[in-house]
Amino acid sequence: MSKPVETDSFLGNFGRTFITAFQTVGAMTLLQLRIFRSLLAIKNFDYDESVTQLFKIGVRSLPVVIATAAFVGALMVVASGNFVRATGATTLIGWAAGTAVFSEVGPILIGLMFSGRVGANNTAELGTMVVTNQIDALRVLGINPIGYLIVPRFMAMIVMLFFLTAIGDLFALTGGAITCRAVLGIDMRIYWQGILDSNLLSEFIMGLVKAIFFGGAIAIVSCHWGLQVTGGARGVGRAVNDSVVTSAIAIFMVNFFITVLWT
Amino acid sequence: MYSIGNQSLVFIALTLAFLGLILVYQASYQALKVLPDLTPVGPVFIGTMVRVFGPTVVALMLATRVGAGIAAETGSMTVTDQIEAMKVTNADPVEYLVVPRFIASIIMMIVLWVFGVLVAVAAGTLIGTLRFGIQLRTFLSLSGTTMSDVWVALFKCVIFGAAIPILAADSGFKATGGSEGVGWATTKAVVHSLFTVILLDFLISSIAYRFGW
Amino acid sequence: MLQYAAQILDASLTLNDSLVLDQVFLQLESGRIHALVGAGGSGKTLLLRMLATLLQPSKGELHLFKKAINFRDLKSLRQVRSNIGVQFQNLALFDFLTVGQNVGFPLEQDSELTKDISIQVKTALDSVGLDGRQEHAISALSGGMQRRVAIARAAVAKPKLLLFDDPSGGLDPVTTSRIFELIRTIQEENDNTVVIASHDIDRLVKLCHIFHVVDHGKVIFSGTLSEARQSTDDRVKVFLDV
Repeated sequence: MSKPVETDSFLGNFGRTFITAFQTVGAMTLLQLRIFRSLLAIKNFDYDESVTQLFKIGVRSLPVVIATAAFVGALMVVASGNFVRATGATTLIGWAAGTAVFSEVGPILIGLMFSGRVGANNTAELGTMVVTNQIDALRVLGINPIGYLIVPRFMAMIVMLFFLTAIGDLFALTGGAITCRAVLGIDMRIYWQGILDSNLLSEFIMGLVKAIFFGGAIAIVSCHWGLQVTGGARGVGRAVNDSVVTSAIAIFMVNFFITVLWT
Repeated sequence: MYSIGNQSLVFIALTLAFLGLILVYQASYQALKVLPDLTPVGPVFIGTMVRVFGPTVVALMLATRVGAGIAAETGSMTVTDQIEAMKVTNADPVEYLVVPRFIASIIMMIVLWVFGVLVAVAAGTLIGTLRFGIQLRTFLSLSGTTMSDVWVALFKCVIFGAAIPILAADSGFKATGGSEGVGWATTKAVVHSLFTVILLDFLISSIAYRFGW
Repeated sequence: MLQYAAQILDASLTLNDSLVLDQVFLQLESGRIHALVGAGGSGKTLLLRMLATLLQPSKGELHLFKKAINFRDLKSLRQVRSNIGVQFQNLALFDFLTVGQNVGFPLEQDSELTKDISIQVKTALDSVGLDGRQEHAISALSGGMQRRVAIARAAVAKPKLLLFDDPSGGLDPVTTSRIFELIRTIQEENDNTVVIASHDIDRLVKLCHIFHVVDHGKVIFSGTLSEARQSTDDRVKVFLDV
């Protein structure tokens, strides 16, 4: 006779977390494949809905992305300020802030913000549609929900996050410049010159490539959790929570692999 | 408190591990380009992790995990009239729901900061020693970390830990409508707390820099 | 002389720029069972919420237990609220508490009632036929049982004013009868003022003393059934089926 499984043990919890994680990854891969299948069969893909989504997403997230980016740039300058003060190498500040913003911190934080604003919202929207049987209603009408709802969101998120990251990078550098003058008391020209001298084109492009993958990851994660919702208002709230958490993990993981492959 | 800490542990471990990996990777890679000496990578990484990235990223993750959770919970209680039911029986929803989470969040923020920094340093050490061949003893050095780094970080932890549940519960209580309202409230909580963490971080860091802490 | 437990005097309410309650007069005689009838969306739930002091009228006054309610005076608001019990339309049971904790919740908040909570909870659950389920989770109960828990929670502190929002919505006829019987028993035992908002005219007619008809945010009729029969307003006759 085997002993009853102790489900509340630490190991039990750990095992359960693992199984759920694998199930989630599996389901998201399937969703990804279905999206690609719909993309290949172009007739399944709703052009108008894509344009609507593009505008909705862009307008919704632009202000918060700009504000975040500006403060992130500022934060990076303050953070490097301590080392600059220790070493006296003021010319390094542009290089340090520029590299950090372009290659890592910029894409990651704009991605996190995007997942909070757009991804979470997307989960809530799809989740509500599931709870109120709107997805079933589409199926009854013979409309493929993947092509009609998911693919446009997938495309729109990739495109928008790409542009938002590009715009955000500029605002981050500007925020850094202002902070450089206001907090560190270093002339902005030294900062800008430092950025220009460091030749950060490769970092900038890597950041944009990251944005494309982050956008795709956020889209799949948020759609997955949205379509998974069960159990009314509480279920929608929980799905949004799961969606932002999974997106954050995905962002940090994808980020690492892209950097390693790029360099 | 247990639920705030436990559910975040795996999440924080995963994200902070990847953060540690990438920071050391980038730092070593950039250091190799500029100066071929990798000895400062470890100390600088640990110092920055303790003071800058530790509190900020742990707080961002806590905002995502716990902030969203609190907003979802208080939001669904609001739209199902449970908050009104509390008011009419003279129970203060703030005292009953927010205060315990507020205290738990501050304590957990500090605990998770320590945990997150340890995980990130462990992951960073792995890649630093194995991939870039930095000596373990050179890498794991606290020479880049000062006591004031720790104090500033602790102060940040308290402030972030306090801000997240307040912002989250506020958007939860303001939820209207059915399940869509709860979704909105959760979204709002995440965005507001992420942004607030970054804003407060900037303010605290600037002030700390100005005073030379 | 008539005693009024609650009076809404010339109250209007504007929500999101639309006028949802329009110069309402509603007077609730003490110790009676009042019915609140009207089409869906006519304002019944809003009126109940106002009586529960959860909604402040934009204009006009709310009097409870012969005192005008000042929504800014939190101390006296607390005192008034300890005399009100509400069963919400969607029940609003606390899903993080057990059945027993839900019913005991109002008692815990009132320092005068904290003695022997478990006995009071047992009695209250007994009276709704749910004794022995103290430890159960709310989600483990059927819809009808949850409704009875909500009623037990509303009545447990023996409030002077007891408000029921759609106590039988979505329930089968047998359960509905039991619930209306239950409300009658509670009222007879405690002699409190009861308000029931419901669409179940047949059962309201058997149970209630006074009827109030709500239409488009106005109370268009208040009185007994025989008075309703003499009313010249067709809407009153339609809603009360007389």
